[in-house]
Amino acid sequence: MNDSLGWSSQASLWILLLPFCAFVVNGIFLGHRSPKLAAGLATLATAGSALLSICIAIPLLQVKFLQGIIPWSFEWLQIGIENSPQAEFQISMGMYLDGLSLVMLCLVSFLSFLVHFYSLAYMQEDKGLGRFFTLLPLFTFAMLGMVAASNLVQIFVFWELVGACSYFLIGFWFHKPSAIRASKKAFWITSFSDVFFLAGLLLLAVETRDLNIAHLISAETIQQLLQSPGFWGISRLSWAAMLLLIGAWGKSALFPLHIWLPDAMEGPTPVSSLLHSATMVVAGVFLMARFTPLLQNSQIAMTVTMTAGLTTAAFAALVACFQWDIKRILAFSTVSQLGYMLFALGCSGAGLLAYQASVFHIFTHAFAKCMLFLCAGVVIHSIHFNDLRKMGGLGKTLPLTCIAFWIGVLSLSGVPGFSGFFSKEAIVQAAWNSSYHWQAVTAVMVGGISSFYLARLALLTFHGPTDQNQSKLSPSKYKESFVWMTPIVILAALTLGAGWLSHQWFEKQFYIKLFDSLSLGENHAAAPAALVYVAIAVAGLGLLLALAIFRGPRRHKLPTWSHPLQNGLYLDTLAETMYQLVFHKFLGPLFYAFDKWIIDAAVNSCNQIFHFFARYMRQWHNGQVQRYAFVSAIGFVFLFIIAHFFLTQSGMR
Amino acid sequence: MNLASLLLVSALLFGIGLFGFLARRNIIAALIGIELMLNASIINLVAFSRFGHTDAAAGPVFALFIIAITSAEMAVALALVVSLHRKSHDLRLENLTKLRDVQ
Repeated sequence: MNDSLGWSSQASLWILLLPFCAFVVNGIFLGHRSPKLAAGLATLATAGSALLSICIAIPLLQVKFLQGIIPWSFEWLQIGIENSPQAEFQISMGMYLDGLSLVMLCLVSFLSFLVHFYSLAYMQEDKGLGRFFTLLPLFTFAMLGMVAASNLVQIFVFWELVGACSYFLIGFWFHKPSAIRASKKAFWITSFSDVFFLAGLLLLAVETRDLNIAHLISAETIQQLLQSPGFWGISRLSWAAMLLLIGAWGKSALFPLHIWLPDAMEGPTPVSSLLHSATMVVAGVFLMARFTPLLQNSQIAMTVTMTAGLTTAAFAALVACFQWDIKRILAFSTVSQLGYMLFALGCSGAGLLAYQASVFHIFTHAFAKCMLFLCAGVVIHSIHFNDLRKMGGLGKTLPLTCIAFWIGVLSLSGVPGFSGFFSKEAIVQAAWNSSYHWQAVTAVMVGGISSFYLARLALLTFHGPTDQNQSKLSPSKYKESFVWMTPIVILAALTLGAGWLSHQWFEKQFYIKLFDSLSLGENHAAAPAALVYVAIAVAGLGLLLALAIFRGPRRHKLPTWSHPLQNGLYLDTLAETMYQLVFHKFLGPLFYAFDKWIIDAAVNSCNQIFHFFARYMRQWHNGQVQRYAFVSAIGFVFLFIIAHFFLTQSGMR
Repeated sequence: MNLASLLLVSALLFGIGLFGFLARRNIIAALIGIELMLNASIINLVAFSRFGHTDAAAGPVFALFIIAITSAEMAVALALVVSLHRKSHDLRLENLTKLRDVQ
């Protein structure tokens, strides 16, 4: 298999290495001295990475391969005693290429390149330019390493790296207390769920003794896992799937662990754009997609995934309707769409279709969401605030941004012809086919809500009367220059076009083969065509409702009954209180006491013991040569006696 | 005359030298003590060589070396003593504690 790869097995290494090299060079040399050069290097490196991954993916996706290819791998760690085969446990690092990882590689590297390019303009005047372009390639590298990983441990390592990078990038403007809070929150919550991921990893390690992906998702391993006895009435396979799911829960911001994501907008907008589209949050969905075979064999994990996904989608869509911050609405929209993806994965028990739909939704959503955030960046950079109440009429000054934004909105709303339509329909149909009827209907309703809040966002930003705050700004403030708009235009084109990848012609070329590498069951009878029409009608209804409400004069007061939703069901306050209680009130004092009375006391007592002896020893060192000579003479005599004793003992006299 | 009696003499000489070095307060007397200890070791070397425990030439050669080095050392030491005397008129060892660590 490796021979048939030819040049691409070498080249695939460079997909990862290019961003990493950019990180190292920028971090050590260029970041401080010439940030401009660092920015250029990082952009070029990600461009190279994107080009390589597309060049590698296209020929590979045309070939039907049943198992993933491993173009290169090396042994990273060896645990256990050598020369005893049953105790040996090897962890390798490498690349595992199948439909899923190829698609993800292209997506991540390409979007990352566009975001780098956009940041050239967006971060231009920032003092931390060099730091930014050191961290962003690392972020890209981490995500690329995760999606291409050939071993679960490798996934975990890069998963944590993704988390750490997003911590640094969310808290990029570390002089803002809110940014520090947001980055800490993101790190805490994702780390909390990572503990469960690690537990799942260890369970699988103990059970299978080989954590290579190819081995883990093979039919034999699943059989073995199914047969081994579980605990508390739940099979071991279910345990593993559930623990991995909880790991993905925090990362992919599922309800109620989603609370870090809306706050994560404290980072620079390009970071939000990358974080929401292809990197951080998709990691969780990717993990579940990767382990779909495990998931599919566990009814309970499937049900939990589906329920969590649907709840998240509905909840976030409702909350998004009542927000005033442009990035916050987009963040809740991401949460909602992630819910969709997980929901689809949860439905995938009956067939390949739902799994495909989920991955396809990752694909189409990434373009749209990346673009929406970049547009939001243009808006925020022009007017320097993100409150919708002060916006309005920006469509006149930012026409291209306005058009692109509407494309994104219509795509995510599921208007026919736009890419979001294809993937959303696929998800709903897949759910219906797996005979989750009422869940499918709920998903359709949620689609209506999302089209409502997205249209509201676009209308309030770009249409209606111009706010007086904003008319004070000079027209030169509004920028739609080349560097700003190129990524947005490319992404707009992809948002329009990516859906057609599921069209018959592409299906013959690529699409069906994209996901063939996992040999799952066949899909059932097709959903009724009426479902599609209902979905379109509901989406249209949402749009019309938004038009009806928000075209007229502005009212910036929300109804009182919506207070819980405005505040996200007070989950943030709850988390905050719990954090305060657990860490500040309980663990903080506990650790302080431990630190003070155990650790500090131990260190200090060492000090005191020496001090005590030193007080007496010091008197010997009075500078009198004869005292020293006397002591050394006595020491010599002692040594002589000891030597004499040992020599007679060993008979060497 | 046998080896044991020679070693006894050298041990006595060494003991006297050590006592002189440790107990005398005057720096010149202490130097004489050092000299006595070195002479004791010379007696040892020559005695072992004489009674065939080592190469016959090694003992006297080492003895000559030690004598030469000792005289050089004593020259330096006495020069120090002279300069000390010029500086402070005080040659008592217990007062010469300037080289100790600061406490």
